[in-house]
Amino acid sequence: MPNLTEHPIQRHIIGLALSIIAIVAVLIFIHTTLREKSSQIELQLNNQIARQDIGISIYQRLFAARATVFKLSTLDNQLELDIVKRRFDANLHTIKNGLAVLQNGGVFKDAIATNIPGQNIMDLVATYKKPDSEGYILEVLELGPAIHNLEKQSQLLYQLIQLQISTPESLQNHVQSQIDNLMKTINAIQQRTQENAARILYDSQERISSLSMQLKQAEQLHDKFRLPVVILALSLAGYLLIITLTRVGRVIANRKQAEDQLQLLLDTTAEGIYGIDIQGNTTFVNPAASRMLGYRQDELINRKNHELIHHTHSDGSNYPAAECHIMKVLQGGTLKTIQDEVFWRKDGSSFPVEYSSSPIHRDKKVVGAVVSFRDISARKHDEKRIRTLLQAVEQSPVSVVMTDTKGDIEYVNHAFEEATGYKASEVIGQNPRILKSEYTPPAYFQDLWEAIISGHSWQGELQNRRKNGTLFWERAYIAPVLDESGTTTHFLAVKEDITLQKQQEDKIIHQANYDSLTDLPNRFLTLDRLSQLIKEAQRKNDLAAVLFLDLDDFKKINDSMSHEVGDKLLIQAAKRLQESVRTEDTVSRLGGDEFIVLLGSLSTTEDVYPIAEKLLSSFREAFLLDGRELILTASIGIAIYPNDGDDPAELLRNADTAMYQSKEQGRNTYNYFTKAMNKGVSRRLQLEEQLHGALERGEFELHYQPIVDTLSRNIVAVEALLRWNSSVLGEIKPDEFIPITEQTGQIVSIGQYVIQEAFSKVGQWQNILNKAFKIAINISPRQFRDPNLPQIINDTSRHLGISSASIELEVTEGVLMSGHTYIGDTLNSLNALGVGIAMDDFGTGYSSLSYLRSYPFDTLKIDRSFVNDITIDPADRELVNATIAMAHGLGLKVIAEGVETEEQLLHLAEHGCEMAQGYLFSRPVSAKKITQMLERQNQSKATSLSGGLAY
Amino acid sequence: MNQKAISAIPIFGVLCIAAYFLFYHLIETNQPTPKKELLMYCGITMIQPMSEIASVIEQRENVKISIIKGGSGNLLESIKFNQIGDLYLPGSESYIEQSQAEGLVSQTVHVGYNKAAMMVREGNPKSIQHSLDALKNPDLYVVIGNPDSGSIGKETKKILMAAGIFNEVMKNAKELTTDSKRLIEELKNDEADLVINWYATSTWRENADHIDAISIDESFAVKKQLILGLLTTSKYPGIAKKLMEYAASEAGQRIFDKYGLYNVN
Repeated sequence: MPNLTEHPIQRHIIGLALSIIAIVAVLIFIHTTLREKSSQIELQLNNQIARQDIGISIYQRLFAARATVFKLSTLDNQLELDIVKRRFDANLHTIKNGLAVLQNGGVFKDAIATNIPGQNIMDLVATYKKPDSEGYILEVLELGPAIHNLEKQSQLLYQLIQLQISTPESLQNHVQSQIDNLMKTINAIQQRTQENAARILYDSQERISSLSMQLKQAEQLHDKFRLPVVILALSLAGYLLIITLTRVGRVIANRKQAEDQLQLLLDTTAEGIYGIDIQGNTTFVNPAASRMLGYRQDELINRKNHELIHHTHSDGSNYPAAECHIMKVLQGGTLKTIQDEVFWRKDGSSFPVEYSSSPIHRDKKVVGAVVSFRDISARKHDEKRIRTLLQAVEQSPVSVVMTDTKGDIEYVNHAFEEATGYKASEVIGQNPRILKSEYTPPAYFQDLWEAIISGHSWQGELQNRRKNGTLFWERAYIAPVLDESGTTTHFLAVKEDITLQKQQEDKIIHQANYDSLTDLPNRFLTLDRLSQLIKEAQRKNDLAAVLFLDLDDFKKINDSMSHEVGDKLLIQAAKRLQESVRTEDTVSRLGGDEFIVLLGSLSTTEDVYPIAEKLLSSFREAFLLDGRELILTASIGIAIYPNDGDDPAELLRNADTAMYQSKEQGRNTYNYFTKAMNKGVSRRLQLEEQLHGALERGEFELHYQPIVDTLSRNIVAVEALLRWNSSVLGEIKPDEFIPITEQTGQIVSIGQYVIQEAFSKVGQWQNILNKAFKIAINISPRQFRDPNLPQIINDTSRHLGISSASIELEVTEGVLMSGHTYIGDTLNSLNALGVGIAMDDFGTGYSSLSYLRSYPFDTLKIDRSFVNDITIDPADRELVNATIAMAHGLGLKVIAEGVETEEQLLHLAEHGCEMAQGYLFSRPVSAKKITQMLERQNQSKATSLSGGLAY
Repeated sequence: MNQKAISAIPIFGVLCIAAYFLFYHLIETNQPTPKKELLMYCGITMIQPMSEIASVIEQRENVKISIIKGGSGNLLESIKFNQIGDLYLPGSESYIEQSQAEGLVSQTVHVGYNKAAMMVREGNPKSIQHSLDALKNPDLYVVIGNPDSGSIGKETKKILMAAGIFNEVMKNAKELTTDSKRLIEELKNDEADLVINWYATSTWRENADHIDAISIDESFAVKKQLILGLLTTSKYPGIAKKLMEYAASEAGQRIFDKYGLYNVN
């Protein structure tokens, strides 16, 4: 069967036939169904007609029987009686037959008299079939007994009439009465029986009428739909026929077209095509074959093909026909494509060919073959070139990957295998994403694919992962490979391993952003991160903090313990700072001993407190450096974004300002930046500005406060107090400008001025008094760190010809507490020059007795805060008393500062305090005033001044 | 569209048309399924209530009940002759007694009452006396039921015998009829002036406008019980008994009453 439908035409015709058969079958079915219905109705109708005929016969027979009964009643002789009686019985017999047929079905026959000329009797034949669905047949059930009764009564009547005939006339009346009554009974029976018979007629007539109607409807239905169905069927058949014919026509046209196209193909194809018969003779040749072989077509036709064009191998050896692949196909060999043989031209030259041979079958036998071939000289050349290129790519030092358009790898070179650790066989068919690391963001690859899919090349750097899991960097150039039509057929990736280069770049970037000593972010990176922190705080609408942290007195460590130790300290300090903050916070080093801590995601400014405390507490434990323990503190300034600024530079500046505030507050503490600090800074800047050149402009001046003998109340010395009368800012208090000069270093030159001025004045006053007179000079810590201080004093002393012992330098405990060894050296040097040393402001600091004992002090100055309340506060009074006693015990003289009342003076004098200064005697006054005071004292008490100053 | 589809569409269309005609045909020629059929012999007078009761049972039991109607005596003769049937309701109790005696009826149930009356045409145009003696008047066309063929004939005979005028009336009667229906028809067709018939027939709607009933003294015409009997030939005695129960129930009595066959007074 499949063979029958191989051809399209066959398929169309079979389809048409099947469709028409289906239509015809359906039509026959419809016709049969409708006809069967009509037939059934017709059969029922005929049956009812037969029933009606039987009913008519019965009715007529009853009528005839009634007539015979009436006749019987009138008879008076036996012969006639018997004849009429037989007639009556014959009628009843026929009726019984009819009832039997109605009861059981069958053929009913009756002869009915007619008045038709030439036909005295009509033979009635009715064939009645009892319906299967019929149950009780009521007319039979009614008529049967009635007929039986009628027969019985008529027999009685017959006997009565016989009796009457044979009965004497005198007795006939009684019999006649019986006959009359019996006649009435028989009449009633007959009447009833006839009604029942009429019922047969009525019922059959009803059914005939109904069945006639049904038959009519069935036939109408058949007639009504027959024509449309036939038309529809014919239309469908016609439609199918047209469709089939159209398709068959199209198939024929297509075949013709295909044949034309095949011929055209043979004529125009670049491939050479020829046919051979079973003997190997050429049967046809297309123009291309003729052209390539150099033979005319007629020179090839009917000639042994192998001997003409295929007789010799490319190496010149003979090529027997028995070994020829084409000839083997003729012998049932399998189809092959051969690429390594040559064909020979008519001119004796050869050319490489690729050919294939297909057998021609007819009746399941090979009758020939078709050979198609092409000159592959150019392809051979191209193949060689491709091999060279492929070797170049394969041996290239850079990775080369080629994928199809879906991204599946088709080729990788050796460098790829070296770079990734994957063998080519492992990655062919895989997607390059096997190299993908999690460090290259998806958007990067999205850009890559968008570029190459849209036909553009892409270059960039990828961080990929080798087979062994290590990461490496590649610089990749990826481009689509287009075919002749411009369609992308592949993607080519050329990749260079730049891991080393990236590592170097990373190192450079790291060096540019990180402090080389502590490996903390440097200023550059700090500012960048601070900018990011500010943006984040802006976005999240929260706070950020900048903590400016400066190590207290780090310079001293650097100076005293070498820079190497200082560097180690910085490294340890940096580590402690990092450990004190959250991982997301930044600790950076601005330079020197300055660190920055950046805190983000803060809700309130108070959130900085615990962190600042933690930072400070991280320094409580001593630093262990080269086997020595060092205590280091830090001062912290805090600036909050956005309260204290909204750009990195401003926040850093304000944090720095707050840090200075911490320094001024004694260090080892932290301060939040306030606007007031800025004002202070502003003031400070003004002061710094005006201080510059103030010395040269002569704006400094020394005032002097007398120091008097508590007993004689004579001025025995003065304390030089520096005053700055700025031409711009007016009079500036020492507390305000002295720290600045210490920080700026100006204190050294100003100190020299003070020393020179003091030496100068003390000389004048010694001349007035003509005796020893001392002047006390306050020396700042910064001056003390100046190793030239003793030399300056010595030089000045010599220059002015005034003894160094004329001056006394006042130092505070703070100078001594730094613990530097040069302090002791300086003090000893000064002591060697004869310069007096006084412990200033005693009682306000540690009041360390060890200092008094360790250093060569001459005088101890009790701070004014104790003196103020010695007449009021017993505790102060006892402290002062004890201090005086302790100083005397150490061989020191005592000067009480801030004496303002006679009671104070009296108390001090009573307890042996040698000297006092304060408003009770004089405020600090100018040198001129002191001169006047000394002259007045000299005049009034010239004769009494015999004790003089004790020092 | 392919070839298969093109071929399938017309075939499908034709098949649809065929299916339509097939089902149409089957619907139109659907034959009633044969079912159980009961046969009842019913006196003419009771035919209307029994037809209604039979309809109820037909629906309840999904059966067909065929009724042979006629004079009660004729029906008894038919039962004897046919030897088939399930139920028998004569107009006279004597027929039931007779059938029981002959072994034709196995069970009975009382379903109503019947009573005879004289009947004349509407308005009594012949001014007939309210007396049985009118039946003897030779100027009147008297028709009576055949005492051998029906219950009314048998009841008429009883009445006339009680009045002592049976033979005279039989002699005077112009016709004997088989059943009550025939007697009614005689009057309605103006073929009779006076008949004796069951009183119930005069109350029927189709008769009431044509007939006037003249009551007969109770001493002659007594109220007769209507007895429904189960025939021993019954093929479906279970269903027949259900019909008997229903006929004897309140619902059945209401039906009999509706046709003048229960509260005959």
